[in-house]
Amino acid sequence: MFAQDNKQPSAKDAPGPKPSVKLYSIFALQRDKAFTGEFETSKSKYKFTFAPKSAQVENGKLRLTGTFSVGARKVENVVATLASIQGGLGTVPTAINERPLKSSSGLPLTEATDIRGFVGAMYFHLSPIKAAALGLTIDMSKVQLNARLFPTSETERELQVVFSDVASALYGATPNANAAAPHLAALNQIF
Amino acid sequence: MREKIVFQVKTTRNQKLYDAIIIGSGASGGMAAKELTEKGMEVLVLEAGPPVNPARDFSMHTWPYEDMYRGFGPPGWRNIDQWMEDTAGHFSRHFYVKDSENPYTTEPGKPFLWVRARIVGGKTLHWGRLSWRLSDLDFKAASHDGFDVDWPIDYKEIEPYYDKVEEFVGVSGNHDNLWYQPNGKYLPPMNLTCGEQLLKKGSEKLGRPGITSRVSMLTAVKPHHKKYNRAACHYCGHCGDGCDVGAMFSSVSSTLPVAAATGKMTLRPNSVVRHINVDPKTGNAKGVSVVDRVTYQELEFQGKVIIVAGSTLESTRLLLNSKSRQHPNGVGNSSGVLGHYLVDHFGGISGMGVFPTLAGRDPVNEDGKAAGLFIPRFRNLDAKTKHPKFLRGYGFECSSGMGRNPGAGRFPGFGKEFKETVRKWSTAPVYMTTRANMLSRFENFVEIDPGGTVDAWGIPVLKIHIQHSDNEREMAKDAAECIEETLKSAGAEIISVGGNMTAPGKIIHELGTARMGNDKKTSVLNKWNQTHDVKNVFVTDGAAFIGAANQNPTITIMALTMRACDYIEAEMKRGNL
Repeated sequence: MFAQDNKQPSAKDAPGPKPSVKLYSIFALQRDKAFTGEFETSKSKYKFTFAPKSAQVENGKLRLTGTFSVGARKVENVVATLASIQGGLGTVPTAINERPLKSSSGLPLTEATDIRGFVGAMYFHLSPIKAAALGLTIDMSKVQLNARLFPTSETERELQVVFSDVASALYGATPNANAAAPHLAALNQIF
Repeated sequence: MREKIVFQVKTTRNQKLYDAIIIGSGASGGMAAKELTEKGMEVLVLEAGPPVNPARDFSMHTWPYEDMYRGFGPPGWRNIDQWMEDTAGHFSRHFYVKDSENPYTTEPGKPFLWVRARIVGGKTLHWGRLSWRLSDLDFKAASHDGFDVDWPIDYKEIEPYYDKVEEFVGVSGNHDNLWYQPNGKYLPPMNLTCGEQLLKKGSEKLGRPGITSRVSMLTAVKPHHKKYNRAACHYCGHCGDGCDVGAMFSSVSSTLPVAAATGKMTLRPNSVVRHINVDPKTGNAKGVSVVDRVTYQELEFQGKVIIVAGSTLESTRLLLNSKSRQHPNGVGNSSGVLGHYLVDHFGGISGMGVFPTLAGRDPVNEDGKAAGLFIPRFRNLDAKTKHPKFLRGYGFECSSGMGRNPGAGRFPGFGKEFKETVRKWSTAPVYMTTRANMLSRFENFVEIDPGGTVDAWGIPVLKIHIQHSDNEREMAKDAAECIEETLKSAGAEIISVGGNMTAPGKIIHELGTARMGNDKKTSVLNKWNQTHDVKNVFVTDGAAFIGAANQNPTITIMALTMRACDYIEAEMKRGNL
């Protein structure tokens, strides 16, 4: 059996990525109306929150504007532009699962596709953040927020459905900003 | 005045020139390392994930009751950062990537499930081990039915490599003498359970042979297995948690130890390859740029030959990301075909029943073996078996026997009567599931995400576009009908049949996207897995496939890798590389 150095950490206890110069991406779970997570640099671990306050569509992209905070330090008016999405698999949100399928061919369907498709993760590009304002010494000029939707409350479930509808309208093969409008209004109402 | 903070990244260039740089350490990368080092070459194996230490990382023989969460892990653990790693268990989760660090993107309503194993050994640490050869029904499929193109190789060309791979790896199975499912060099087969034998008879009554599954598991130990301390399978059934006796083939048990023993392999884990570097004068590859997974140190390595074996989609992603003046669309992409013709087998169409004749018998230990019954493809083999509504075909993976889970969820009720019902039927279940061909179509493709999404190391990620066609849907409908027919023919009482087709990717047989071919305008690789455009870049994993067939691909990937390594040696001797 091929085994590597016993003194080195191996898969089970392998350290995660620890950038020292530039922060490329941070991971967050949607919790209530905000996205919360933790990132690590070569120096330390930091808990953060991005709390959107409003949603707009600009140039066909969803933009959330809100507060980015690390501990007690905050940066206001951070804009998160939705770059891309990842479709979800597994338990389909009830509100989406109950939608009637249009297919009448009688042929089997593929799980979690078409109008029963939903968003599992959203990848936002954050506007440049002055890390010094957060007490950090790392380049945060182009950070990507990897936002995982794994709802555990009614608000989170509702947001996942709305985000899924916005994504269907704006990020499909034929983007349609008009179709996104009612969902955008719903999003702003929730925020 | 406030001090300006300057963020600067330094690149460390390694001066050593390796004969070959191998990207990936799984089925293909491990085989390439073994083959090339045995030929006397100095190789550098770059693995994106952490090292592996079987004593620490394998969880074989850990029982659910030893874990506070009974093996399921704390609620939501998978959904939080490994949501696409469908086969990861709480005991094996460290074999898989964190989706939180490794994004990819899809279109709304068209999900793709991408299971990835960035770790020394790759997916061989937990693969399904079914080892079927392809035949000329698959290599020359287009000649049979007119769809797409044939592979640039035929069965005769690859047969000697299948022989060598099977003998080295250790594959158990029978000679079943089916022309479309060729025989190989096998160790003794694993036995079928009573229920599997009943199902086999039921299928054969319908004219559809049922055969013992061929698996890369040692049922006997040959000297070359013993030399590297591989032992025969002891039927514990914990294969997916890491097999620390080496009964199950993995790179870690088999190919990497051979390569290491030559003294000619340098293995560098935690090495995420950013791109292939090319010589601006010749356009040939001169090495690779790497970022350390943990420290973010930027490194460069030089090699005479680059073997890309990072798994189907990671390999294609690397080629697409390797843009230069000489190769503006990525290495190997002058045709524009790179990224296209993505396929995965589909499953999800399944059936479950019980055999009344096996109900209520005394419990026996039947759940440890890897090989169940396989019903190979029986549609579109010839004019007699031609199906009017779809091309190609599917097979059934079947199993029957008592398991650790008695299946209480299948039955209604409670109390004493419920327990008796569960006990009675727990000895008699039978399962069938489909493994079906998905047609290779240009419109199913991957590209570098136009939205600019990157991974934790700033490397652009893939956007995956794929969906099933009516050919797959018709096949799925037929499969459900045939499952019902087979279960009835075998005398089983049917509990459920049907289901949704699995989302693409879920079977973890993603293939294609850097297809082989004789014409450089319509393919990425030649018949030797060598890119048409850059003679010293080879892609040896599943990306090279023309079509999926319906059989598990790994043994073919290893045979193609071995063949490509012979070619590399010959070309080096001729001075062409």
